[in-house]
Amino acid sequence: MTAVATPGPPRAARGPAVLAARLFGSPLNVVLTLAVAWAAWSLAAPLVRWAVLDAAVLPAEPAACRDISGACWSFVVAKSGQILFGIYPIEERWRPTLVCAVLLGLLAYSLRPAAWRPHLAALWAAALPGVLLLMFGGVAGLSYVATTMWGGLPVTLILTVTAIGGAFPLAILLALGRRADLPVIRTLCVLFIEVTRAMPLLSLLFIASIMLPLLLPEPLLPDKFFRAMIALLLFAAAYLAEVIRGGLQALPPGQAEAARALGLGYWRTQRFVVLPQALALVIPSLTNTIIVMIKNTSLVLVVGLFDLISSGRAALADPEWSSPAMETYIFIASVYFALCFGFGRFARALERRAEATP
Amino acid sequence: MTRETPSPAADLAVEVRDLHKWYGEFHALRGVELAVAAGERIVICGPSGSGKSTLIRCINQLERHHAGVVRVDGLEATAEPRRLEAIRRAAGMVFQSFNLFPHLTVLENCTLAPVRTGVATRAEAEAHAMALLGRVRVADQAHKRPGQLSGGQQQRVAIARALCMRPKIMLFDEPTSALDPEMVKEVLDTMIELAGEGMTMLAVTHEMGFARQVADRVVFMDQGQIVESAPPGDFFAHPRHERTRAFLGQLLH
Repeated sequence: MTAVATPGPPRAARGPAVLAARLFGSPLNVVLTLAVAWAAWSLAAPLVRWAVLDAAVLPAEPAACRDISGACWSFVVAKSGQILFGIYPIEERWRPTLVCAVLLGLLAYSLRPAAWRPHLAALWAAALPGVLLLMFGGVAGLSYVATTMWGGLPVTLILTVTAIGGAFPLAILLALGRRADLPVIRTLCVLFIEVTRAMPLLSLLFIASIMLPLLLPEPLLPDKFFRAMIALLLFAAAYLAEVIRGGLQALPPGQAEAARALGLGYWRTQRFVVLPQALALVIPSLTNTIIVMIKNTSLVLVVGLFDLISSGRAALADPEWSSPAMETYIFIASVYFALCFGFGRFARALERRAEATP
Repeated sequence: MTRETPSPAADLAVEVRDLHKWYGEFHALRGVELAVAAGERIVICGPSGSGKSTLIRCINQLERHHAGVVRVDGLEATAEPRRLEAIRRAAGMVFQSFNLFPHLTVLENCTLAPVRTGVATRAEAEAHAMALLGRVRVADQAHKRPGQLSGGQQQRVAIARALCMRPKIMLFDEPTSALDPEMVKEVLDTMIELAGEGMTMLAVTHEMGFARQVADRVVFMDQGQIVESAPPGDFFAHPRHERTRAFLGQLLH
């Protein structure tokens, strides 16, 4: 090193010495460190004892849980089929299993940017009817299973994928419509968004399941499952539309002007210039709204659909077992956590990709 | 060319007749008349708020006029989307704030419109874009994002992007006003080259050196009207109108 060499920026010190200084550097820090450690231990120790040390996992029979003080995971193991697939006929359970595998596999596949080509839309367009056909049956030797017999994870997944997948394009149209030049379109979009947003999802689901049958004649009335699906879709669309509108408003008007000045029409301007930028701007709020909507699908239990939570509650009704509710809900929560956390990570990766292109 | 009803305006690149435009109560354009022959180069100047940007934006219909006639390359502007797209293809535009698309590379900025409007295949559009980027001397930046370029480079890309649609007319809306002083010249040089190639040009600018060098006519606007229109020699030496003299006086001091 010569005398004229300019020093780099000061580096933050690291290592065990620094950690020790931070944790025990002053009397106050010593007290705080010990207090936090004691609190963490007194919370974690009983939890570990309950969930792991004193818990029963196998054998998966009621006897396993009779003389234990910890968690009865045996119940979850024994009832996992019922929790995941509800009252779907047991001999046909391979069908909802395949449905879940297809949907989860396709979701995972869709997360890779390399897959974002036109064939992906075609793949989904083929998968959704295929999945419904597999659930319904009634063709190709498959026995017919009514939606009243559906339950658990496939219901949650189908509702999530169709409601959010359908809501997203609708939300884009609503957001664009709300900024349209034609007053009729603008008014209709504002009306839809404001009315839908001002209603609790619960009441929207009740309208779909109870009021609609009073208004529509039987042949025109869709199945209860699809009525709930449409209610979720419309509700999600109203919220997503407002998030997307935020992105549209944040974009300088010069972008759309430049595209129009190049001779691009309205739709091409939106598709190639405005939306790619506007959506990238609102990825965090989109993620937020979509995760809320994934969890909202559990509300369909109030109109008598058997999603994960309702089928878990149904499994708990078995008198053979001592109703290990906590274990069941932890299991269900972990399924929701996996879905939502997975989506959150995906959104973060998407955001980083958008940031990498200034 | 045979036309059913030959009018004296038939070979005009741009024709504006009795053009009126309001923003709410504000009467921004008050009966503007302007005829630009093919190959002609017009510089429009005037104080801020005089309507010069509004006029140029009415020509490619980024702003809709309320009364009067706008004809570009023989096409009368109507609200019909196909007609508007044809007019905008005939008249390229360069903005004060560049308005490059930040999510696309420089090359993609140039090829987006030709490819998506079906004017050219991707290969044709890329070859043409690279040639034009070479002409404005930013070919080496083709695969960067606009945000990585200097202001002068960005504005030259914006010129190349407009030229990619093979326009017959180029509209410039204060193309050097947002640039750092040292970058003004590189953009003006590009515009001068373009003028030398016979492009029909309408430029809103306060660069009077540019006006002297390339303009066939200088148009002075004030309060939504064209006050004076003359070849640059006459315009600068003998401004006839009092408001023109006041404006030029301010510009020079």
